[in-house]
Amino acid sequence: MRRAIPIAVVCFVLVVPLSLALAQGEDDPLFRAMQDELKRSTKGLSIESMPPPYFLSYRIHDVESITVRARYGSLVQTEDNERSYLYIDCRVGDPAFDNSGFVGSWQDIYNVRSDLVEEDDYDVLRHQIWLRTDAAYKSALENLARKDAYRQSHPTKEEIPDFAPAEAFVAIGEPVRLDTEPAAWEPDVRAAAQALQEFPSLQDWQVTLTAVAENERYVNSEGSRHLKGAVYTMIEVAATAQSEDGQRLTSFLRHVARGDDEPPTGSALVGEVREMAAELEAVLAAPTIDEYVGPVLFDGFASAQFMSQLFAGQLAPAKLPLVAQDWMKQYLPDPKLAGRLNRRVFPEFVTITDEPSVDVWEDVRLVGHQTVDDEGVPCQDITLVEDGRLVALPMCRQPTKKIGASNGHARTFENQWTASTVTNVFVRTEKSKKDLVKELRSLARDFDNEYGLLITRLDEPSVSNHYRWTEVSEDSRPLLTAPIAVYKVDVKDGTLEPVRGLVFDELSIRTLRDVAALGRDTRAWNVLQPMGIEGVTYPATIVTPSVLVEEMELTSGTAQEPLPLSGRPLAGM
Amino acid sequence: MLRHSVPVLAVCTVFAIAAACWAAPGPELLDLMQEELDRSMANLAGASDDPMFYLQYSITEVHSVSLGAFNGGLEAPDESDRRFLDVDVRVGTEVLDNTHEIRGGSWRDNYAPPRQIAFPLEAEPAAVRAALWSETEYQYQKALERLTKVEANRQVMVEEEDLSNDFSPADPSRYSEPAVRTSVDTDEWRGILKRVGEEMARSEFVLTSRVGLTLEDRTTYMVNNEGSRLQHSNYYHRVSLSVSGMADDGMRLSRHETYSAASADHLPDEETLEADAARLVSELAALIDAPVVEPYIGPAILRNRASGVFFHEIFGHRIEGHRQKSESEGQTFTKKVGQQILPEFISVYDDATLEQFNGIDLRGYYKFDDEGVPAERVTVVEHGVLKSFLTTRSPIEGFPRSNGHGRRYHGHDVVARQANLLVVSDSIVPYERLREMLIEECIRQGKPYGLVFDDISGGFTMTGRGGPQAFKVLPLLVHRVYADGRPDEIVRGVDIVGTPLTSFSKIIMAADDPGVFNGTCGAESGWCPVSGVSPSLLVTEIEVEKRQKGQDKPPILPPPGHGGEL
Repeated sequence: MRRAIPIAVVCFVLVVPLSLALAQGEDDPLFRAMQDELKRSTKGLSIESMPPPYFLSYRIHDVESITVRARYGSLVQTEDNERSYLYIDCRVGDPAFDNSGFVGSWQDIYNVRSDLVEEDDYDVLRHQIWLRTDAAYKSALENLARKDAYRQSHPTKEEIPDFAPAEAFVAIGEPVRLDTEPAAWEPDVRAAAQALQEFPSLQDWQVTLTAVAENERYVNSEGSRHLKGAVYTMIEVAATAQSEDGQRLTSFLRHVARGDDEPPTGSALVGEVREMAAELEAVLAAPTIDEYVGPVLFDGFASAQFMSQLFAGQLAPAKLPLVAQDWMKQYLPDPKLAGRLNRRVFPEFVTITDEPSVDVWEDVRLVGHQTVDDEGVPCQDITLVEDGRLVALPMCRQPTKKIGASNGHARTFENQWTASTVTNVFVRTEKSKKDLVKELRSLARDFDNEYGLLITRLDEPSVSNHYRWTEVSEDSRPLLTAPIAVYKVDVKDGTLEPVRGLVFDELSIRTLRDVAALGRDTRAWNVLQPMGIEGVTYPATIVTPSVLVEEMELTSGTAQEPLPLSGRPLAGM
Repeated sequence: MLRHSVPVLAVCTVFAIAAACWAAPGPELLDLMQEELDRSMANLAGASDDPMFYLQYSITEVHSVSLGAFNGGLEAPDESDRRFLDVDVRVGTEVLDNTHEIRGGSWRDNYAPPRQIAFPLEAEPAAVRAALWSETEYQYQKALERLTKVEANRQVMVEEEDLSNDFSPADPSRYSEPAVRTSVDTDEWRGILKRVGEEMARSEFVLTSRVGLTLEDRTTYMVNNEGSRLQHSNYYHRVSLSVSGMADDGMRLSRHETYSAASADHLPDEETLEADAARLVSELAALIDAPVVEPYIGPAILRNRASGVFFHEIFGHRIEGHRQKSESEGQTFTKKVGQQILPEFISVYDDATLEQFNGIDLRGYYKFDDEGVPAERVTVVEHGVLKSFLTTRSPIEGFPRSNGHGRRYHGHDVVARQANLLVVSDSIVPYERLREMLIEECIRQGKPYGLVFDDISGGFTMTGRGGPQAFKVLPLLVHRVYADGRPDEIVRGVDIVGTPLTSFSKIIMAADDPGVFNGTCGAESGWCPVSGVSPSLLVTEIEVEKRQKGQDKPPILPPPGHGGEL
């Protein structure tokens, strides 16, 4: 059997007595090592005349994964892997002003997590936790001093606390395992890659299957403690080609599944792959457009990408860290919506919620489902946008001027940053339109356009940059990536014609207010949500219908590369 | 232009694959590579005004296994099989091609970022051909682009000192041998690593410890348009032991031991590992309590392995061919061919054909370099006189042909690299006599003590003109030998510094104890396995300076289980 074990049912108890909490998982050597070292450190860790930690947490993240990758129809990688990482949050000072939220050096941005041994050996784990805690405490003391010095030379008008208190929360689930192996997926991955050999214009492609089982054990000095596990399976197919004028076009499809759900395999996957390639070939042969101003319909996956990039990706972090030097800001997230709380960001008919409690929606297991976040806070369902107004933000335990408490939306990343994140984003309206294509044509007519634009897929730089010949600078990431699959929709008869070579122009966050209508084709899309730091993503779900925007500007913009001087050798040569 | 021909090696026609996990019959892969190479040459050779005159395909197949125990706890085992493709394209002419140095720019102008191209593991002809085609097109376009830059650079810069060609042809090499897939009893080894690791982690002063086993089988498949067709393998297996601790003043200290082998049968047994682990722990304990040495100039002995590392860093990198040609290099020895550069009793060879020395497998051994040229033994220095350099297919003045030292880690451009650097002395004494001579030299110079460098971890040397022609090597274990007969004393906190020409002139005697260091060297063309063989050397003068050390206090709490419990 290659399928994943379903995510365990999580039992949780709010504000349990400590004795009961300790009883749960007491046989687990990792928990015992974490708990024993936590107790010893909170009591004894101090340097004379320096403050002891006022808060300490340990998070052990176990990751079991397999990767099967094929390129051009042959496997190029088939591996399994197990890793275990330790994350420590050691805070000195007090909640009003502590060592957190200050970037004093490059290492603060890319602060790589610590490896742990695989073996669940109590003594070995404690030894590692002890050494890392010692380093984390000393680093925290230094950072507090640096941050204090910075504050003195850069006084601010308002003092926002650095840390929000939270009640103890215990949620001990059963750990999950990856009940599959690379060999079980090799035929599907190989077959999908070989199906693309039929398309002579494709220059390169690869199919990648990744399955991950992850378990997180967490304890903190407030008495919180949890064990949560999840299994994800992802298939990604990417293919690249060039049009006759040298424009590089890279398309992709990606399925992210959780638990029992699995991405399409066998003939279903091959069928999807062929569709993607056929669409790419159609776009290759399509004419270019120099510029366009008018309505744009984001349909299918593009609607999820629109909401992921332009809305969800702009919400967090609600509060940015202080940086010692301005040049460091270019490596930090730059959310455009976080400062617009209580202001209108969408038209009145749009309501958006973030609901981590939703496990399954219309037979799809949502990858954003969680009961407790990475800071030990129970996840809350929240309304982000109500009647077009941004009324809440996903919050971790870092308060903002307007929001003082966490709502359980913290996620800790590989660089040891903990940031607010979305989970399952639901885009809703009570005024949906049945036929958005008809609405698109109508709006285009109002612009005196002969056509409107329909987009079904946007570029994903993490996929397409791999195939580009020139390096891409990190600061060139736009608010909304370039459309890959674009169609002109004729105003008169509604016929579709593919076009290519467009990028969004003059785009701002105000585009959200230009949403003219939402469709009735709501669908759940499990996506890799960008965190805001280049290349860092996390699983989240966007449940959205198609989105019609009243007016957008697009211009010609995709770079050209030299064309190959010979054709790709084909099968059977 | 004087050209030497390279003898063609006898062809071995055994083509068995032992227990491979993928269908990888070498001849079939080589056939596909040859067919696609021929097709590419036909398509691209005349596609531009600047003809493509050289094309080489290399596929590096790597099977690796990694096991380890950290602080006595087992790490997750790793095993992988990967293939990587390198396509080397030359456009222009042998006199001036796209590989020519661009002067006055950045380092990246001459060394492209590493490019890791995943290559099919399966014998799927369409996939193999497509992967070769795609990378050939990319490298061809990049070669044309770079040649344009080269030509422009030459127009605006003064004439170069070395007017050698950019490329030297070579006779085709044809060779094939079976690739063997190394396997060990994983459970047995995990047991050994666990037991040895637990012993090393037991002492309170050991902050971290690791014992690891890595097995790596590397097979190269290579064809070029000169007719070379190669399949050859190297096996790099290692067991490593390391322990670290911290002195009261915050200095981090460590001891390491590494065993290299070309066959799993040559790896050490548990008894050996236990004994050496105990020795390392004991040495670490002594280092933690050892006094810190102040900056010092005086006589010293470099023990055999330490001397091997010393020569590799300070001498070996300066006799690599491309450093004689590049206008940005310091060229310490470029104009010294035929001159005395070392004491008369010292000769130096770099012998890539040497598989073992005194029964120890050498990591620098290979049959063909990464440009398809058979490995050679090169006499670099004979009785102190500089004779030759390590060369690739990029000729240098006076040395128009490759002597089989073009090496790289897959994904990098080839440059000249060391293989097995052998330091040989005509003048030798037993080590005990060398130690007596050290004391005599101390007395002669009026120094209270001399230093013995038992172990050196590595170091770095600046060969470019942009900085001083200086080096620094990082000793791991140093003894002070007193002139007045007091017992030897372990000391800590020193690095060896100096300049090469001065340092070599201070060597006065060698011992009869040649020893082997096996290591991995990092340079422009990536990480390459290397070896050094040298006797212990007595030098009249060596300079040490204080080592940069951490400023952290030792851990605040004692280790778990050693106090501070609730």
